[in-house]
Amino acid sequence: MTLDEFVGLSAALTGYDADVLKPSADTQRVSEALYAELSNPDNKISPAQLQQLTDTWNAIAHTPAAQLEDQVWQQIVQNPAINRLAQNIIYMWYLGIWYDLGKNPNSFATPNNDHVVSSVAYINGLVWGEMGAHPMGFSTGDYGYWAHTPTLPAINAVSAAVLK
Amino acid sequence: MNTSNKEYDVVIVGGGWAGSLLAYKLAAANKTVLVLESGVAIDGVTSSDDNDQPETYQRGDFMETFYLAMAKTPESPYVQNYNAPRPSVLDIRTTAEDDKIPDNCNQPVKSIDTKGYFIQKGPMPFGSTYERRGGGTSWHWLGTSLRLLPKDFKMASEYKVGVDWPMKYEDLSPYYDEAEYEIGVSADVEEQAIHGITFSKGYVYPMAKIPPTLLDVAMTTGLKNFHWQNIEMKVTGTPAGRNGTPNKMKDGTYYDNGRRQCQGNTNCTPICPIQAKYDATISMKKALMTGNVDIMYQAVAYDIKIDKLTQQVTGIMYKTYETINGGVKDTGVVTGKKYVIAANAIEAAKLLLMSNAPFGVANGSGQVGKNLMDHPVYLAWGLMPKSTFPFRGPLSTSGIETTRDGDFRKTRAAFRIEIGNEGWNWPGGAPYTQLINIVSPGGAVAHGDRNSFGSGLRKQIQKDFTRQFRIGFLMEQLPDANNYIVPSKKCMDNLGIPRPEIHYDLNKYTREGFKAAADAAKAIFSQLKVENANTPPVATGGQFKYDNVTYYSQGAGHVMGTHRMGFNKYDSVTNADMKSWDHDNLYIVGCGSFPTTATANPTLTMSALCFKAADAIIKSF
Repeated sequence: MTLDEFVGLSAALTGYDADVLKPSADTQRVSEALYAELSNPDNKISPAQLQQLTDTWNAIAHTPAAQLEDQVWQQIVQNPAINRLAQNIIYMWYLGIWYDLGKNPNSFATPNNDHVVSSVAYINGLVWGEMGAHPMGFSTGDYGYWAHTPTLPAINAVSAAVLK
Repeated sequence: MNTSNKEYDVVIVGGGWAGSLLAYKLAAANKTVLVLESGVAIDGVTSSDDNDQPETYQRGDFMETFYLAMAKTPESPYVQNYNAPRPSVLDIRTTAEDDKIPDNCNQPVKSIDTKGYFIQKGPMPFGSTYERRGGGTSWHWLGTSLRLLPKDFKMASEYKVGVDWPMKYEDLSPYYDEAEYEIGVSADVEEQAIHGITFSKGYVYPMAKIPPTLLDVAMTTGLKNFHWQNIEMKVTGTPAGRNGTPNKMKDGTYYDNGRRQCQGNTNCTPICPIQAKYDATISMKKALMTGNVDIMYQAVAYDIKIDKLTQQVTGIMYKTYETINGGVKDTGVVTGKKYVIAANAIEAAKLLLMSNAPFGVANGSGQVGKNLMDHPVYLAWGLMPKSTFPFRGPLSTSGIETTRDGDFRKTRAAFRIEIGNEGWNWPGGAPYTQLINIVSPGGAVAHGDRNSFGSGLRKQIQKDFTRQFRIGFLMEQLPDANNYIVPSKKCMDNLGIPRPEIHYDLNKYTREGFKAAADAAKAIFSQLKVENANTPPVATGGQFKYDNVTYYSQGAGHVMGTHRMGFNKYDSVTNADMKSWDHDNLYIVGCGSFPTTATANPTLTMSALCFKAADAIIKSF
């Protein structure tokens, strides 16, 4: 899977446009940090599974935005052979965490390879902004901001295209 | 650092909260002070002649460790130090599991995290933890700075339970003023004048109260004029040791402690990234700047020397180490005219009992290590009918304090109700657990539903996560000789120093408090139209059954009672100045001094007590 393929698939899985996940002026380079986890040997990803996920994605990558989620639902999420890996991509983007593929992410079974990808990955986790909040321990707000109602990000059909 | 050629007025064991305040006030009165700190140094909080700190940490190091921690526990930013180990909430275990600790449990390097530092003898596990490093547990205190209520000082005479404090609210009131100005407390005098709390004429807190969160406002509105068991469930702002908007003081100038305003990082525990929240390194730094104070890091006190004839303390023996994984490097002794034990309540009792075998130090009453108490916490959580947007602002900004006193204290524990601004983070591992449950419903690896990804996932987060809320009931606990800590006879730490062996339970009085808390939570939820989460907490300090109902109890981190003050030498360890009844030149300070717990988070009161002790020490010269 190439970085561009990874970002496109990530957009379809997270519901965020590709150019949000990988902005043209990318100072944080979150996508690169998360992408690197796919080739981290500690993560013990089956090359065949990764290839199947890549192929499946490439087959639907050019679906118009309005129908893209249906395709992801049918071809990836409902496919037990590749969905666990796809779920991990969601976890990385939303939480900054790689969960050991060999276990239920909510269990504390040991030994496992659960890990925060990097502090940048944690700080850029999507779940916080989705709630109108900030990562715990990383606020850029001014004193008293919490007394005011936040604006939640708009949810639209995503564009999985990567801006070149 | 070379201490051998110096003659100190006061030697303090512990460079945490109590030790830092004491050092600062004594130094300001021109006393020379040496502080022995078991843990590692904090960058910039060292003696001026000291260029040789083997292990030094700064806030940025802690933040990075925190970001990378899978479980964002109170301990998560702080690396375990195997030579001055500390408990972790991840190690809180039941007695049954602890029974498996082998006879030979001397801990080799790097194994404490999996076995736990405490030897928990039960029947309930003790759920609270503390830090052993420069600044102590102040690194992860919440910031809550409530004063005790006048009646909290006289539980025996008012309610025929527990014991009275050897002082009245009025005796401590001026020291509360002093503590609030040292910490920098943001609060409103008028709002705090509850249950007979009085302030000196014209008193203003250093800073105005912290603005309430959207959740606070929703609860204030929703509970307006609502009564539970004839108690008005009135929501009020919580005094906080974090920077708000400065008030104009009596002299016409505005309060200024040089630190930043709170940015609402929602991370007071485990660490404030910008030091808007007070921590003890601030006072220690000021103490060091006087030039009257030296601090020796990585020096673990293990024996208090007593002169058999005069019963005076003659020195403190300590061990040093090179790195947090190494072993003993050296031993030494420090001497002064007077001595202060200012360690965490568990470590202080341990040190007193380890010393002067077989009697222990300051233990003529037999009370050292006894009456171990906490504020066992009952958590209730659910979904508000509308979004109240958690994970914004300080961790807690408001609470319900009207439940802290009443005639019911004759038969059951009082509690205060803390309103949490971090959703289900504490009881439910939010937002991690809930997100995983959406992406992988029921833990199913094979597939998720239509809303387990993309826009469906986003909608669920926006709809449900923003309605998460929880309240916590901080329960009063009575002094009980059966709740105690002793140095383990067989389990040692890496330096060969005994680990704490803890015997602990919640008695009927406290369990009745849990029952009342559950009832109050139900009433509040019904009034607010809250959807109850109805799941057991993911983290639990302990669970018990009472009247056929299972309750989960969490530690509050409020370790109290192990060297209590009192009226006489027969049933207490120190007098009201925290001076040992047995040893004329020894003071023992910290939350261990508390005769009873009351319901307020103890740090502010502990600080006031420290200033009272400091006054007494200064006058004694």
